Amino acid sequence: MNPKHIEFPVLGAKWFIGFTALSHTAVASLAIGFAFIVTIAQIIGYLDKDRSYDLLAKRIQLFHVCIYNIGTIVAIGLVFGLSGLYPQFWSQLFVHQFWTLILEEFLFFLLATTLTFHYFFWDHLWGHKKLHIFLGALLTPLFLLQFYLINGIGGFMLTPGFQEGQASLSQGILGWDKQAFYNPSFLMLTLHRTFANISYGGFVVAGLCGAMLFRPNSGAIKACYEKGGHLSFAVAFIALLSLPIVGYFYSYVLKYEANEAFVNLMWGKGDVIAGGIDWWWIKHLCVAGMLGMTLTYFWHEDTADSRFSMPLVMIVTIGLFYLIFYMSMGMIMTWKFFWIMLAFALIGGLLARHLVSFHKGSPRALYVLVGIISFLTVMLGGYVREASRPRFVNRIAHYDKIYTPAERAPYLMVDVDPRTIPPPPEAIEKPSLAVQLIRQKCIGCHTLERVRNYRLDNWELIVDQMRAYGLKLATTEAEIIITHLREKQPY
Amino acid sequence: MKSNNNPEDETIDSTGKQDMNASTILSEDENNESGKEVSQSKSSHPWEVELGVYPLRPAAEDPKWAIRLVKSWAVIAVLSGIFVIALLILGFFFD
Repeated sequence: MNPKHIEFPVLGAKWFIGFTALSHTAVASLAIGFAFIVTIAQIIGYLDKDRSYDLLAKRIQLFHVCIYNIGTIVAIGLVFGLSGLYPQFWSQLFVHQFWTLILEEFLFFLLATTLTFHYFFWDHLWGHKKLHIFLGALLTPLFLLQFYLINGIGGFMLTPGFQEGQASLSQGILGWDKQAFYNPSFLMLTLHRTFANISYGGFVVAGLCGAMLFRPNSGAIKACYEKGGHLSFAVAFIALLSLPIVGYFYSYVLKYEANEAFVNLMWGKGDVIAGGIDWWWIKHLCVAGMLGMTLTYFWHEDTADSRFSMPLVMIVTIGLFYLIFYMSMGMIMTWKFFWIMLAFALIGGLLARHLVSFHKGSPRALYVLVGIISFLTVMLGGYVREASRPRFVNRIAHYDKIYTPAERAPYLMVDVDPRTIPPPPEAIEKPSLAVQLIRQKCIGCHTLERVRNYRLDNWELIVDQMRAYGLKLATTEAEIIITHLREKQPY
Repeated sequence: MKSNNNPEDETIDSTGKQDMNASTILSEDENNESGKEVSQSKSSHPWEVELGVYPLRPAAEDPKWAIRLVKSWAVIAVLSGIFVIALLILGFFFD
């Protein structure tokens, strides 16, 4: 009897996992930003003896306790879903990185307890405020550790690496695999996710403060939410500074270590396109619009009495970094991408000015709008990241090679006859070496469209020119590229 | 882009703090009828009565069991974090 897969009704297995994972992302991504802002607000409140920061911090932490529970429960749902719908994949991943996942669970316990104690002992420790702040401050590094651990596994699924790293896919490595954990995209994923989540958490807190500013409260309460909104907005904005730099190196790693994912993202292929829409573009439209809004907000901010005003140099630096980032993206993708991003940033800036003047100087609507857009950005970023990579497994797949039934049979609860396991899915056709070289080398300076639009046939001269411009290309590689282009083969 | 407070909020000073007596705010025991009346007459928002002061209190008034519990947990959390970091460092050198 052939093993049957469990099929999830209506959504199907893939979309159920995607939906659950994104639901988890929506709330879990807020955690580090919330923890960081709570600590900052508590410290400011303590130093200034200003109760409003402390009250805001407590309210944020209450929200955090609630969403942490929801996020954890959804994560358990994801584990259940993977266990039933992708049993071979999940069991193998668990066996492969058992100790990593056990440490992750240990950190969940530490974080949940610390978070709960921090919130529920708030009023018990008024005489020991420093101790209470220290307890809350522990959350940020613990969340960083948790990121660190899960990113080793997440990065491995995107960039398994070469040589020793690839051995993980064909050998029975149990419990801990250093090469797999410290995979090529591990560092960039960790940096990008950390700063992006701090930014996301900050914008969401500002959005919540903005929503509260719509309520008919007294001036004292409004001033309280304005302070909180402004502080969170500033923290989120500073975190934005790192993202184009990290993003650039992240895409650089993908280009060489996960070329298929890179191509899918940059040229809109595979599941990155869903419903005829390129969600990677939509994500960047959101980022560009958000950037325009935040830059305008801090640029025009009245700094006379503002505690957390941004230095002009920082505003200009963030603007320039993103401009350079989108220019490099424009070179790789299309220049249309660059101009559309620029247009959205300008529209965002104009909209920000309009919203603030419409609300008589109050940034409440801007806070809410940016909070919503940052939520969309995180959701879309999470989706395209997973959608872009080649399928790690296709239900029951080649992972069975690692899970040797003969050795593991005594420990299996289900007796599986290896002959009944379907063969691994057909390998995804890898592009030829010539195509890989053209994609990797040419887009360092210009789009592939430019290559395609070139009408003459003097490729030897062109490639020599490119090498003279600084393109690092071995002679054999140059010959492969010239032959491919001369034969007018697709790439 | 500083926000403008509404005209009806003119009783609030520039720091957003209300000029309130600390005795109406600090402890539940002291939150007497007059304190409630003050808060209700100003606004129904529960923060109104708390915003005015930063209610530090003498360390001796904090419940001892809570301090012991939180201190113990902080030590456990720090040591656990160091333990996890040590494992990751060891894992980097030993496969």
